Amino acid sequence: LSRNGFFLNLNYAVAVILVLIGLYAVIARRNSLKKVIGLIIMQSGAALFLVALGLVGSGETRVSTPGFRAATLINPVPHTLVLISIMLSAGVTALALSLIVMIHVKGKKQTVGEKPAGATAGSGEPPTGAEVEP
Amino acid sequence: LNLSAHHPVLLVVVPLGFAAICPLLGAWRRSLCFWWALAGAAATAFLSWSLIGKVSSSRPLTYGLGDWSPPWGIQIRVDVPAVVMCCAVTGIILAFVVYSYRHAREQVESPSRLPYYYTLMLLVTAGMLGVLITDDLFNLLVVLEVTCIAACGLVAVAGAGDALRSSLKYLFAVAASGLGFMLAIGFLYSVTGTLDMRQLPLRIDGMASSFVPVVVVALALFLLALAVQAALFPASWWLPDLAVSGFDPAGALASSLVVAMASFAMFRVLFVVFPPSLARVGTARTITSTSLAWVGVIAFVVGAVMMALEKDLKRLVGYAAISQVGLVVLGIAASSARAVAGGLVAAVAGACTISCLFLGCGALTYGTGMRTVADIRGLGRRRPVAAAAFTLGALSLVGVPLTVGFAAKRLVLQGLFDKGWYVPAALVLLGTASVLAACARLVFLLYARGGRAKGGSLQAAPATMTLPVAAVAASLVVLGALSYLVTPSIVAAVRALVLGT
Repeated sequence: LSRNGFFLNLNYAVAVILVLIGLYAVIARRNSLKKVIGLIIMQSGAALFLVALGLVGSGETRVSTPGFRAATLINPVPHTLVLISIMLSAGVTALALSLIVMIHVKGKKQTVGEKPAGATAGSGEPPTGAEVEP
Repeated sequence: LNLSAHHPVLLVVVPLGFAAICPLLGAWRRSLCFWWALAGAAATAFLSWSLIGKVSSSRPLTYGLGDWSPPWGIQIRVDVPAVVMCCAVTGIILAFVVYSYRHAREQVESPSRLPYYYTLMLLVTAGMLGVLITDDLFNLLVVLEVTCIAACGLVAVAGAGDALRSSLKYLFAVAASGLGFMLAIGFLYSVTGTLDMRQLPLRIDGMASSFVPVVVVALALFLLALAVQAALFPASWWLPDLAVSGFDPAGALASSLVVAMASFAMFRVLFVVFPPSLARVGTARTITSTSLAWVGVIAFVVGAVMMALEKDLKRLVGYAAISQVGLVVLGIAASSARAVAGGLVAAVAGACTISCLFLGCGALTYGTGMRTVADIRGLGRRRPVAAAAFTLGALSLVGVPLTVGFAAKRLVLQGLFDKGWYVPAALVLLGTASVLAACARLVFLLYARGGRAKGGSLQAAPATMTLPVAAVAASLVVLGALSYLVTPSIVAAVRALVLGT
């Protein structure tokens, strides 16, 4: 591998590692907040992957109109996709966090009231947001 | 402005527009939201139903967004399967909205949430129609996410603790699988340079053979991500909780329509992006679709068995939804013309049947707080309309002739025989026996003597709940009759896809 090629592939390696770390957190962590963090890491990895795709080291762009010479232009389409995916991810994160807050508030209310909220809220106060799985 | 030229895109724009205005209207007069959502759902239904006759299997409607042609712009393509699904989806949504009139008002924690409920209902509609008609892979991802995340909010609107928890669980599943889908898009784009579904197979066949592994990985990632969103059995952990915890229409929507959309997306990926005629990935595609078919069979049988064992009424319907997804995926993955057509008909049948069962459950147990199967003993005499609708739904689930469930199951089985897949066909019949046992138990209990109605008289279920239930139940029979007319055209459309472009 040339030096340039090594760094081009490094992008993909880092992206894959990030996605896997995130996926591990989403699947294996019980705490919802940690799952959200995993989701964000996963999204960053996916975004990085798409950004890296747009980077064309020394070639033509893959999308070009006839008569349009773009020997070293960076492909804009993956970057547009990344923008949309960041938007999606912001919405998902906001929704997940607000759900966690609502679950937390509910759990508190129910432990204060006469009926404890089953197995999830527990007797002590949950310190970092409610856990989804009992 | 010639509106009929823009008919395809209006399918998405109209419900989206209605959804955007709904919360504003709700801030002004909360009670108007229901009527606004009803108007939106009716307008969307009109737009879908007026597509009937405009589209034939040889002549789909196409529309370039922003007047850009396919290689550069996003194309919308309305073909026969899409029209059939559009009509079913919008009809069911209309029933859901009417059903919500009393149900949502009585069940919601605080009335200030109602505008959001109707907004999300319209948003899910827009997303689902987008899934059905888009012809661009990234666009497909976006509308799928819109659908699933709006469905997630729709369940959470109910506000109870378990609704919030199941909705969060669903959100994690959807978001993670969406990112998997996006990675697959990245893989595919990196070797083909296009996201247009019609261009992709041409580019895949024309690319260097060293890129083939990338394409195979992309195919596997697509199917994995869609399997999670479609609640295909091992990936269906989120569905039963989601089905029971929200409002009846929200649970029904998430476990019948949204799931059907994901399996429809699977159909698009397997037959438009990676058609069987694709020589480059032929073997890998065959292996993938065969294993997918086996997963489908297992999902069908497992769902059916769980259904027979379950004691909670709504959760039982959730397992029925899981088994229906198995049937749909089996049909689609079996890759013979009649099986694939059967899979699509099964998607429509499943959506209508599961919705009918969910709403029927809600109308049957209205105001009683009943939850378990044993509770419904004797309800058939006290709530005849809801009970009849529920029974029809159960018959269609089993696949009794004259219902749409029968048409679907028959087509899938014929398709399996065409391929010579006798073992999966036998397993489908075995699963059906289990479904039959579960449904027979329900129907016998429903019409049995006795029951523990305290005081003897039940408050009558409101007409806004029984009417939509009756309408959906009637549609099962009407669609069953119609399927004899529509099926040849679907099979023809699918045959063109399966036997080569």
